[in-house]
Amino acid sequence: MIPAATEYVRARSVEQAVRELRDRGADARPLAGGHSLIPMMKLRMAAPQWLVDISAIPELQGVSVQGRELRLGAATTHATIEHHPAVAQALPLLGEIARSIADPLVRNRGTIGGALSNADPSADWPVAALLFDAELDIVSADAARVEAAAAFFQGLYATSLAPDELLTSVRLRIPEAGYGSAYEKIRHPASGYAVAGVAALVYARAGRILDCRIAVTGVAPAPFRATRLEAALKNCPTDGAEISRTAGLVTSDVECLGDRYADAAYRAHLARTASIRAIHRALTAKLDNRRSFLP
Amino acid sequence: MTRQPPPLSVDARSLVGAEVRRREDGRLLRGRAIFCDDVQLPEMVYAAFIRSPHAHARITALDTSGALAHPAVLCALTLEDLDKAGVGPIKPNWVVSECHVPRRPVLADGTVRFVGEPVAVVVASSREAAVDAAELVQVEYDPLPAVSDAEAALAADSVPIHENVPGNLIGRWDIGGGDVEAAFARAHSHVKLRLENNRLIPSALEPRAIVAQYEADTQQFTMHVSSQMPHMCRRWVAETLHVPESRLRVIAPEVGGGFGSKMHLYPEEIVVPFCARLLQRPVKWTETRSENHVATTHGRAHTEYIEAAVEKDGRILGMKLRTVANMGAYLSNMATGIPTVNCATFGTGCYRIENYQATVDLVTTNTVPVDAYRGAGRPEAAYIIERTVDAVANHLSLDPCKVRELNMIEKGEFPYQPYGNPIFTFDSGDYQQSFNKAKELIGYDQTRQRQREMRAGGRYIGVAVTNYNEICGVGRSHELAMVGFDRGGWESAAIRVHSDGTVTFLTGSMPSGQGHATSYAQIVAAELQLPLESVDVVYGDTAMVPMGNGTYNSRSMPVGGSAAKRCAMLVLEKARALAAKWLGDDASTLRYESGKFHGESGEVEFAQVARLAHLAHMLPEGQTPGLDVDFKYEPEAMSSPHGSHAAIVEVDVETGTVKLLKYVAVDDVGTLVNPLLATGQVHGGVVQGVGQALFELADYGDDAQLLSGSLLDYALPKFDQVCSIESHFFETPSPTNPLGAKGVGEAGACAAPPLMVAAVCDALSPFGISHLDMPLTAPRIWRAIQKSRETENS
Amino acid sequence: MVEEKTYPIQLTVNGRQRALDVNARKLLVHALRDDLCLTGTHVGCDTSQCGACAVEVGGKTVKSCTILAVQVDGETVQTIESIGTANELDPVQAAFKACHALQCGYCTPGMVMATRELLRRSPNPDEDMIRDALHGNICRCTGYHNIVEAVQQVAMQVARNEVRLEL
Repeated sequence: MIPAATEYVRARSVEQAVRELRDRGADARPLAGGHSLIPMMKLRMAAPQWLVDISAIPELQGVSVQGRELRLGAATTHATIEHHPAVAQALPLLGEIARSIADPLVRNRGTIGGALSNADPSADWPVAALLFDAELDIVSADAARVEAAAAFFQGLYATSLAPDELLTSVRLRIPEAGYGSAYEKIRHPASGYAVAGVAALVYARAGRILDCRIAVTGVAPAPFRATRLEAALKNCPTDGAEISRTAGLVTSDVECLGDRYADAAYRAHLARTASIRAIHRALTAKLDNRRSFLP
Repeated sequence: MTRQPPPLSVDARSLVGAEVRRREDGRLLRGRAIFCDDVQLPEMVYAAFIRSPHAHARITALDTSGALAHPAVLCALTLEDLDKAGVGPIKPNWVVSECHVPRRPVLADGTVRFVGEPVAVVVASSREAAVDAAELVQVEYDPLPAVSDAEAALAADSVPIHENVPGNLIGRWDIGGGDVEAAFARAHSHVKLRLENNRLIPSALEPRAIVAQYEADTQQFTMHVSSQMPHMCRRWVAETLHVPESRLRVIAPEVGGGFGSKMHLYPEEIVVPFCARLLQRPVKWTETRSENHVATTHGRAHTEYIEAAVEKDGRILGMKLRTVANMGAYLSNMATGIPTVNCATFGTGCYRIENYQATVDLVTTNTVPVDAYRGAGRPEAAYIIERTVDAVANHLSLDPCKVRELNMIEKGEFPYQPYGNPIFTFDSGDYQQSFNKAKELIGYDQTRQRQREMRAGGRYIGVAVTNYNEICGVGRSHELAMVGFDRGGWESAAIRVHSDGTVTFLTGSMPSGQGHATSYAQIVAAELQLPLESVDVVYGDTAMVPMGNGTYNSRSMPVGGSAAKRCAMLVLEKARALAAKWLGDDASTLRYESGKFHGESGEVEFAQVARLAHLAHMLPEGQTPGLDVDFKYEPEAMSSPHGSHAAIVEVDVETGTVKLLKYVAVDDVGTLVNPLLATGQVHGGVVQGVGQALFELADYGDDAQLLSGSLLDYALPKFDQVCSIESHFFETPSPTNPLGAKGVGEAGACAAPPLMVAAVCDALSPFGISHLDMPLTAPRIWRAIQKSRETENS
Repeated sequence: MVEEKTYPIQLTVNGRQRALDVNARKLLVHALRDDLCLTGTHVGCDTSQCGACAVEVGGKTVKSCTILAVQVDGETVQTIESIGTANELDPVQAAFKACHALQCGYCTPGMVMATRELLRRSPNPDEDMIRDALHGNICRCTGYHNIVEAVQQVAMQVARNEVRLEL
């Protein structure tokens, strides 16, 4: 319950934050909402010597739409995304995903950048990053780079971030009107994390799926796009049987995780079931029927 | 409709049965209540325990010097330090028949026997330093093979855990009656089943906590303990620390839930006061949640083998039960009594089964000690018999409701002594009434119709109605001696009547959320016919309350409440004699009404009699000053609540997820003192039972590591995982006590597990699934469906 | 051993300016409980699951066991002790009492704070919304039924202008 001793610095700017990270090396960890790091510290599974608090850096905040792109500052909280009118307009799926994360109290603190950087295999935000071709803005004291989401996630709690790098913002591509989206998540009854979570983005016309994207979390060591399923669904009739027949392809390219609660076979089945449900819901919830996610 | 509290000064006589709002609530709602960890004392220091990470190991080196070198550390102790002072061991106080009782040292004795066993303690000047220094204690372990499963522990090749427990079998216990073999011989057929009653973590939301002080000049200890029974805690701590009981004051402040887990003697309750005496400073220890999972007792953990002998029409002629009960690494206080007296005894439940034989094996394993958890044996018993009835129905292709109706004990048969057993009697009830009402309220027949329609559309709902009965109140003291229970069955009540006629009621019962401050005030005010506001209730301090046996076995109303009522009656007797003298009337002619004695020559108010008693200017012959009464109530027998619960669930067969759609509870818990609070007890018990059935499992891996180490793995039921609960009562007052109360705290926990399993299995009947072991997690259900589909395909 | 560094922080707690020296690892809940003696905020778990520690920081309800005290330097914090008075409970508290929505009361301060967050976001929630919004708060006693009822009751009272909430 009590973390090991540590030291703390509140960064006022990205520049200061990355300088601190560089100077303190591997002993420092950035701290934003803290909802992944602090629990680990309380159980003493993490004991960073330095915490660089980035939660008050103005540049890391905010939601904005520029053309076909939605930009989220890395320290934007889940709750902000959940309730933001611009998000509801541009990418309503983000509201749905946000609402599936933990609980409202946690969502008031936890941040999208923290969740992406932590790369928990059951985290929810990675599916949004993968589904909407997110570009991740990453800086260090010496350089800045842009990483595609697909390259960012590298495995169990592993990303392409170096210890001295900081994720500053996430830019997601807004699809053309006519796409529908949905997120289906089966929660672990205790932790609330996804045992399987599938997000679908679908464009259909005249009873056929013309374009489709499927992103999956909770099932494999890293979140992934189910590219074989996506390909198989092209030109697939929207009426059901064919979707169900092909949905098993969702895990055809990955080795599924198994644990004491849910073995690999179950997770694979959940991924399939969640895919079918997400696709069907996406087909009926087109982006142009914009629903307000404000209560 | 807006629910509003009734006006405060309701007619005193109708106070028993009134939905009075709780007087405890204000302080709790405003964060003003004092729980144990809220207690802060001058110069207070903090203890942290070093616990074994191994399930079974020899300690080859134990070095506290690193911790002692920490500047904030005041002491670091091991068993050696306690041994030198002659402290310990920890002894159980319910040992049935002839058991091999393992010796339980206060801190590890060179061998650790479960993950979480305390090995050493450090005390430091801050919470942080105590935890830091605990990491500096060096312990080297030589791991031994470990066993967590009780049946595996009984195997010939299992590792022995205690030298004095051959084959890891602590004891074997039998009960039965009738002629079982003859019943099996004449039966149409036999039904066999094996049940797992899953190991649970009680999970009171307030973890355990202790603050101990020692005053050297008077050699007095004061302990704040989050406890369900402060007086018993005092006795056990005194016995184990080897100090006079008179020198120990135990205060149970606001207690944040207990459910049976805060009523046993724990090592920390010895070590913390020991440190306080050693350091002559107050010492606080507060459990963390994850620590709670390995440091506080678990519940249930039985495996049952059942065989029933049945007639073709569903009548159950006889039943055999063999229970393998996991006791954990050491015997906790009541451990041996739970699967035996409290469970196997009640294996025939609400049904007329005249031939019964049960055997219980009490087994030690490398796990956290198992003890009472809400229901303490009776939920396990209800599970045994209700699953058996469902298995019988399935075996004979009969409707499970029909089989229940056929076998249920009838109203006219009470008091009913099942299978001629020597221990207990069901005092009263109306099983048909509760069953019919539950069946009707759930819409059993309509649901069956809806079930057929939905199945056609690929949706699977299930419906069930099940029964439970239990026995509450602990019982008569001399009978406790017969079953090896080293306690009394009585309860203490004391009334202090102040000179202005206001009343302080002191009870030996101890709430952990039940609302005693309100319900006891109702009983006493009703009896004395005083306004509710005139009666205050005190509990939880051994320096104030004369004595107490504490809160467990749903005994607060049947025993503590009866004590309160009788105590108030004795106060009135004293007052009557004095009033008679004052009025110049014969005492027997006085009428007491609305707080006044009415006689031929006039009337006198209770408050005035109280004043007269205090002045003692004119006492009746032989009467002492004041109207105070100290009373101990010895129960005449145990009471037997019962009820029928019904539920509808839907199973998502693609994910295995269960959704609870409707839950109806019909309970007869005797006289209701406060229906609002009784309903709350039913709600809470039901959801804990649903938790056991659907979510909760203290899961041990092959190496006896506890895998459910935190609330990230151990699934307590949450808001969105349960539904609203429709609770109904009817009252057949218990003839065993003056209040007529039977006990309500554990009813829901007894009723819900077999009901949920029956409802889920009913939903899954198209897949040929007639039983699944708890918890019915989504993966477990899905796997069963898969297996059924595979079998069908092949 | 090097002395552990402390950090001066200033915060407004329940309307009062408070200055504390805390070490970096000190959780907000411990600062409130141990340093400011505001013991109404509880610790029920160590994995951010139970919500017994809920307080408001900057007007938003959060879990104070998962925030460092240094992080709230300069912030406004509201704890259960600022809600309602002995003479007049806040409407949320009054509804909890009227509906018997608490038993042991250990989760209750957090439950009240989480209810306030819910009512700020959704003044008129239905049962599903209530169960969803409060699911990060665990109660082991009540079975949740009466809490749902209490929240519905207070929402209805607000809708009818019978009570006013200060959220």
